Amino acid sequence: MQIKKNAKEYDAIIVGSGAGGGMTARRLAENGLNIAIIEAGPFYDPTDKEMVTQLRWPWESPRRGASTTRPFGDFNAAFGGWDIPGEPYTTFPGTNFEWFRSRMLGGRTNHWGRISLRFGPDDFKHYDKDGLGANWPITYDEVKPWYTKVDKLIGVFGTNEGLPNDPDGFFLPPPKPRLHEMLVAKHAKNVGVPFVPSRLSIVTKKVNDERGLCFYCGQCSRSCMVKADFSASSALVIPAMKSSGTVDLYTDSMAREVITDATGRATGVSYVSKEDRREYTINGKVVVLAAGSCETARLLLNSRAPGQDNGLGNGSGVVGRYLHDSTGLNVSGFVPSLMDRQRYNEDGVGGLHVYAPWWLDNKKLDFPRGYHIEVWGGMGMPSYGFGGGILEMQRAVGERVGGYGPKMIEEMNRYYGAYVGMAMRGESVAMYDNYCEIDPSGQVDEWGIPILRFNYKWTDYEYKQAQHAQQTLRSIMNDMGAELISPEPGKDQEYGLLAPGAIIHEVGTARMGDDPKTSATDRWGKLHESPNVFISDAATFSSQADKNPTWTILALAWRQGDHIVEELKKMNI
Amino acid sequence: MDRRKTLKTILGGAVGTAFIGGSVACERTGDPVPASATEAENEGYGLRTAYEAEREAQLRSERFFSDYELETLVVLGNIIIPNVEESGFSEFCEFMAKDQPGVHATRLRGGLAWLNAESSRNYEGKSFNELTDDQRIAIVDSIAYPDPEANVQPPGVQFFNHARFMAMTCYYTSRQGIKDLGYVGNQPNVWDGPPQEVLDKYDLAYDPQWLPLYVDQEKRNEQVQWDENGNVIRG
Repeated sequence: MQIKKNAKEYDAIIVGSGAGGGMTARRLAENGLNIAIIEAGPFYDPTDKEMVTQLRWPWESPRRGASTTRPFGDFNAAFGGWDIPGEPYTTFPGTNFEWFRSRMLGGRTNHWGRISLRFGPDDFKHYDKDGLGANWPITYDEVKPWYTKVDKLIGVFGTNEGLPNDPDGFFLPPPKPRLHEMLVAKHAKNVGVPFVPSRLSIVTKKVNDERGLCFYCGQCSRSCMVKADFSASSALVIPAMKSSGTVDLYTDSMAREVITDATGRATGVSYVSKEDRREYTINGKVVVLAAGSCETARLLLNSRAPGQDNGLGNGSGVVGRYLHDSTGLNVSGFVPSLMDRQRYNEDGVGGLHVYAPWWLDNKKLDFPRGYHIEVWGGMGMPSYGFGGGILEMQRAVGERVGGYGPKMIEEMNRYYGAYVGMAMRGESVAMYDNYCEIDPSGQVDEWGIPILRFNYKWTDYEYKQAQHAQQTLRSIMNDMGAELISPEPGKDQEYGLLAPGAIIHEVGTARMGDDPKTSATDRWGKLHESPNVFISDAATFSSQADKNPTWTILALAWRQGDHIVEELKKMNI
Repeated sequence: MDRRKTLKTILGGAVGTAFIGGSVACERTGDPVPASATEAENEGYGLRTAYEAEREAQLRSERFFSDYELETLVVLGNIIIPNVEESGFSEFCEFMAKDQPGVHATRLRGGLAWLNAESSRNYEGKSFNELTDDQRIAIVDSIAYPDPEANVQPPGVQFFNHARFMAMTCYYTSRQGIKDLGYVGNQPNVWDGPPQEVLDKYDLAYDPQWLPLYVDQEKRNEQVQWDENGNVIRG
């Protein structure tokens, strides 16, 4: 039942149903507004038994969980990935960007790592600290109450550590660490890296009547059937649909452009239905873009208003620019002392129970921004690829490399749970020259929509940070007695730095600022050049932090949603 | 998941009615998870997109390996891991050769051809399947141990590495392999740290700074309360 041509004028049209769109939708609907959500993928409800992949076994998949069509494996709850058939993008020669898209209700929140970190006071004013990038037009203190609301609505476990740039919050009690996490924390301390309980949006203690309690299957990436993890589908959009407002959800609908009147005011959004491949328009008083930083930029760049030939709201020319993703690299190794482990269920929550927030002062270092450290390992559920590293493990413990038969199985059983890894996730510097644009070749995707071309290069800031992280992570592993799987990558291997886009924290393509000449949106995330077009995803981020962006997306979207309600009440929009 | 299902999900979305079941109803019972979560599973392996479902149906309608190739895979697989065929080894190889052809198709097919040529050269024109057990083991022993010093392994070793990878994955993602491994998760649980004897063995202890802050699993069903600074009120 696709709603075809619709004369109705919604109070608001929201494009995208992830963290930003979901939160905006919930706030507007709870305030009684009539809204439409345009979602490029299908409906998805993690609590629907027919959809659930949680608690399934690897043998139920013919590919044993391999990542053929889903980059994080067959049971992962993200439909899509870095490559989507029929939806290409290109990169400028000599540059690199990998664009992850998840076409479904809730978007990428259905599978993400649930690491939920508030940005700190310095993160909003990093230009003041090091003269790079731009300050946000708002401060931590302005956003703080909204972070607290998000903490209390959605639930995030952690501990108040009183750290200057990793703010305390209203945390649920954290779970105890796993064995390898305690080991890593101990050896990290030996080399001067403090680990603390992690901060994940997983419900460890009753937070409200909406949400279930974690039952420690370690599978948040499959999206939780009892809603013990945060997914925008189950925690925001579906509750919005039960609230006092009216929510019309247009699924399998690919937003194409924002429609404006002669004054540049948005009147609606056009989309291509994936069912019949025809274009439709719906009308609204307010348009909120939350399609994901790059998709939101694409929408703006594909939209036109009188006098705005460069894309809607792009008089500054910054739409698509200052694109930046978190830096990332991984180091892993075999820890002989963890061989022959006693078996017990250590699935835990779907992610790390400990992490190391940035602990150093960049003034004393040769790179400007920090990183945090994540850890993984343990006796997890086997999936496709299990045992593939046996030759490396044999080498690590001095066994004859190779073989077959019962002896090999016996060895593998002894090695189980002894493989440990760490991941660095850091802040890159927002650069004008890192951007996405409409591909000048004129190529369109299968929905007829002009595609993006990316132009992104890491700079020495990121390379130096990566070099530092390699040394740090390796020193922890060495202190633990680990046999590292690969030698330290040098400059020719970019110090092991993963490609931009690989960490899926891309932000900044319509950055907020007080000056319309250098920013696309104002402090509320509203386009400077249109009275009623807002952005509630991470496109508005003036800068990233050494943190995952989701909690900040949620806080800003809540703040923005309430602002839109007020402005509508005052007839300002 | 098919077109019909896609339409159903669209219908559900457009109507926008209550989709939320009573999934928190059990909270006061102290169960770690609602009974509904552990009910018998549905068909398939969780929601597939229309693209995925159509792709899989297409793959299943095709046939890659010949019967003889599959028989050879069974013989070889059972040498690599005894009875691995009971874990679905040849079926898994057949599916993966179509699902990820660039990774598996030519490696496996070419490797099997190499194996038969090697058998033929050494044993009077016989194929691998036609060899005695001892003859098969002799060939396997010649390719099962990569030279750690070599940069490039010979074709037979490369093939065996790949076949070993397939057998290991297949076995350890099967019921039998998971039991053998001793993985005891993938079920509702109440995590409360590693067993004490494990901590003792590794001479590890919880940091006293955090020990009082960890979740009290006896009280997880009780509504969280905070003081004005965000500290959980205990008790």
